[in-house]
Amino acid sequence: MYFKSSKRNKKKEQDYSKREDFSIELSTSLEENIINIKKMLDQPGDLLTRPFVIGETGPACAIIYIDGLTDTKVINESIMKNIQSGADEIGKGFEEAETALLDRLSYHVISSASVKKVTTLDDASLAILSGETALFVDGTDELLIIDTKGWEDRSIEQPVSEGTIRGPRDAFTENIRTNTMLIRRRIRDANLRFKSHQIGRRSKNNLTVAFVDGIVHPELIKEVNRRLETIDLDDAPESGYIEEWIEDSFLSPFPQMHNTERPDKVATALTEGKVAILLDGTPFVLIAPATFGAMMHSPEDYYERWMIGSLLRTLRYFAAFLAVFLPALYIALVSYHPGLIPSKLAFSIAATREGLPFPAVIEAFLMEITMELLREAGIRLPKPIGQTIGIVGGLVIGEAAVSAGIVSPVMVIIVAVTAIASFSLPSYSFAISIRMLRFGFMIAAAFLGLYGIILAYILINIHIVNLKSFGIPYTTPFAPGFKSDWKDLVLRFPIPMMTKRPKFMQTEDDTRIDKEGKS
Amino acid sequence: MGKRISYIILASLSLLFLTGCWDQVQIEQRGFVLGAAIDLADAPSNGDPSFALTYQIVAPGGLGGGKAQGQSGQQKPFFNVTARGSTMFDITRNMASETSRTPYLGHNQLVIISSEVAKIPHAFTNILDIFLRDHEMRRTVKVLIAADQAKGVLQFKSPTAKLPVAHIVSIAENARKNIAIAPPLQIGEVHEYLLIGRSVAIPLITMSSQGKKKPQINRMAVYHGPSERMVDILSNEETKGLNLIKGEVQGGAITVEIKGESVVYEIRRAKSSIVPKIKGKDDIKFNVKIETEGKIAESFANIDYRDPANVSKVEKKVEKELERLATVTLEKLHEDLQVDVFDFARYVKKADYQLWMSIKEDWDSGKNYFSQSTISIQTDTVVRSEGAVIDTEE
Repeated sequence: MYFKSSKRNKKKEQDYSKREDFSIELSTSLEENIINIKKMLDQPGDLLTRPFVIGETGPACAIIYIDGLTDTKVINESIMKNIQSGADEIGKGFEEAETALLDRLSYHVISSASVKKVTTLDDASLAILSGETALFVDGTDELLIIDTKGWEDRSIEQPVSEGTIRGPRDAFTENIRTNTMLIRRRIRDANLRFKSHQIGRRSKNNLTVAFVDGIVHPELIKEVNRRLETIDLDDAPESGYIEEWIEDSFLSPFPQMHNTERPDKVATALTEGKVAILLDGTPFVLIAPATFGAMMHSPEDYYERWMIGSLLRTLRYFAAFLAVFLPALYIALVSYHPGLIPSKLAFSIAATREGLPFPAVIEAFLMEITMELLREAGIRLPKPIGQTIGIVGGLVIGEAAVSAGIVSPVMVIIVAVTAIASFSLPSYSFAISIRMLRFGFMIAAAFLGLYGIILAYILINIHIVNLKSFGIPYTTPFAPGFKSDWKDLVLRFPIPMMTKRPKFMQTEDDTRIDKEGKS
Repeated sequence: MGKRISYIILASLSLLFLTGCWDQVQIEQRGFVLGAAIDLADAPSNGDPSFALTYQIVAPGGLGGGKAQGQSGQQKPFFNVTARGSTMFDITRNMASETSRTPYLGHNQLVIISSEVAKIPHAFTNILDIFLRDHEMRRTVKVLIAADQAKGVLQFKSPTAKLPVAHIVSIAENARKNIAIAPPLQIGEVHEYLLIGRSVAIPLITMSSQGKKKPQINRMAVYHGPSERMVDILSNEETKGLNLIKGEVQGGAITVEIKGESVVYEIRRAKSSIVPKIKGKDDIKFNVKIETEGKIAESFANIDYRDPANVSKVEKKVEKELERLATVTLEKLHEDLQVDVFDFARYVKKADYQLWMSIKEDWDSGKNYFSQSTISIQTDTVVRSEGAVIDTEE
């Protein structure tokens, strides 16, 4: 760790020494400013300059913007049209360029909603690169930045990784403004806060921390912001970069933050006193802190009847157990403890394994690795081919491997059940960490049988009870136990009975539903 | 520091790889022993009895479970291996030299001991020792005594089950249908009796001699605790009576005669209560009350069961029959053999512990206080249902 950071610092110095310093003040000369801007950005082909003069005698002006990042229609309508149709009127009294002209333009002429003044080249270039338009007026050392952002965007679509039958169908997009909009539309509370950060020395991404003031514990916000401020990355193309930087233990196999593309999930989390971290350029929003229990929850648990929600959750815990332990148990029971298998099952397993060339361990690893390969191939391949792979893999390889006498049919069933069980977990990142743990358990079972499984289980337990996510123990409310939070853990109690917000979040306002009713 | 950690990891990994999986045996390489039969071997060499142990080992390929092999239909699903020796462990080790698969007793379901062996003092307890002591053994193994050769029981061809042992085990579990079949006796329970030197009745398996050989379990062998040997075999009727007195009947039929024709009473529920009355060593009384509840399953006699008087007539007859069975049993066990397989001793111990401590050595041996006690039988029968027929044709 120490080694790493020293290297990083050295790089930083080198970078800055090479770069020219552009944080200079603007000059009063229009031409010089334009040349400087162009020089700074190295005259890219999509940087457009449109010079013009206000009135007959007015000062020379120019707008600079990047084609593609801006909405040309807005530039035409709210800047050019307004200035040129009233050019004589505006230019009156301004034979000499003055700062007051900028104010007049800003207050009276330009009809864009957001206009601001900047004085340095750095700010100007950042604004231009963000899709805003810079308006230069000759003779002033200030310029106007007009919001003309508008680019091709993916529209709001259905969530891909977290499907539900019942529930809202909108998902976050790559545009952070759309995403904040989706959250605001769900929580119209005046206390909903969006705090902005800028991430990435090069990419300068927008990052927004969302929380509800008055619910969230103030220390949590402080901690999140503190951690975000330590981020020193070149760029952050996805929230995974942020997650790995600010999580408590990057050596842990477990995800310590929730990522989701469902706005409804984020909204619920915010009202529970959690914090959402939105990054521009990715539809995956982080929710912190995350707990083991929350990883097993799906928003649909709350949308369908509570009994079904509770049953499905119980089923998911069972699925998680299968996904972790099933192949390991198979190995242990078949190679060490056949006495623990019911007699008839033991005989039929023995019958199917007769004549197989590999011990159970090799057999299990063969099939599990094949399964992981199929899964990986299914993701990479184009969708229509991906389905074919599923059929080829599932049917042909499974069936052929059995009839070729390489694996036993029982093993195929176990691999299939394991795969299905791990797919049924609602959090993808949690499911993949469970997939990984499975192999550890299989190795433990191969060497030490059930004893090894128990040892590995104890190890994982020691780790998981030590794990914290932003100060909140990962296993809470199991341990440390908060009995009242068990209403929404393995079981999901009816919504009117869940009157309090999660106790482990130590929310400032702990009452979700007032028993006395609306007042 | 990095070097040190990598050494530690290397060392702990080598711990795993060097020791390896020392007790790993793949499931298909184990010889699952399903049943064991113990006979007396012919030549006792040095005076110690020598035994012949037969294991029935499953050949899973023949069970038809796995189709991976293809031609599995031809294979016999089991094979019997016999070896001789003076101790069970010895024999098992001898057996390993004969079979391709090492015997694994984790799935053993049955131990059959021939009556010849059981009659030798101490032999029965000595044989059972390994079936209780070894870590592979289960306490749910059923214990039977074979009337003649035990090995023969494992060799018959079952028309329904693929494995003879499975057939025998399912007969033993038919207690619901027959009064003479006691609930299967597990080795763990036998162990409890052996530990305190009590007597116990063990189900007896006989092979019917006429026609195709078929196993039958409808009698019991009497094992005398203090002398550690089997003393006699009960008849079918005596077995019924024993089960009734012990309250172990789960179902079965009693046939009585009314107006010269048969009426079958089916027991659905039966219990017995034993109340001891102890005034001293020589004055121990037991009141046994046998209560049954059931229905009329078959009636050759044309009786109008709508009339309660007729129903109670049947009840009276059944009570008498139950009493007769119980008395027959008591005559044999209480008067002739003087062996307490009813477990009356337990009631004495519960009722008067001090007294019990003074007489426990002489309960059904020596002075035999058991034979001096008096046992009275009471029966009570209820007909719950007369069946779905009102009129029977003349």
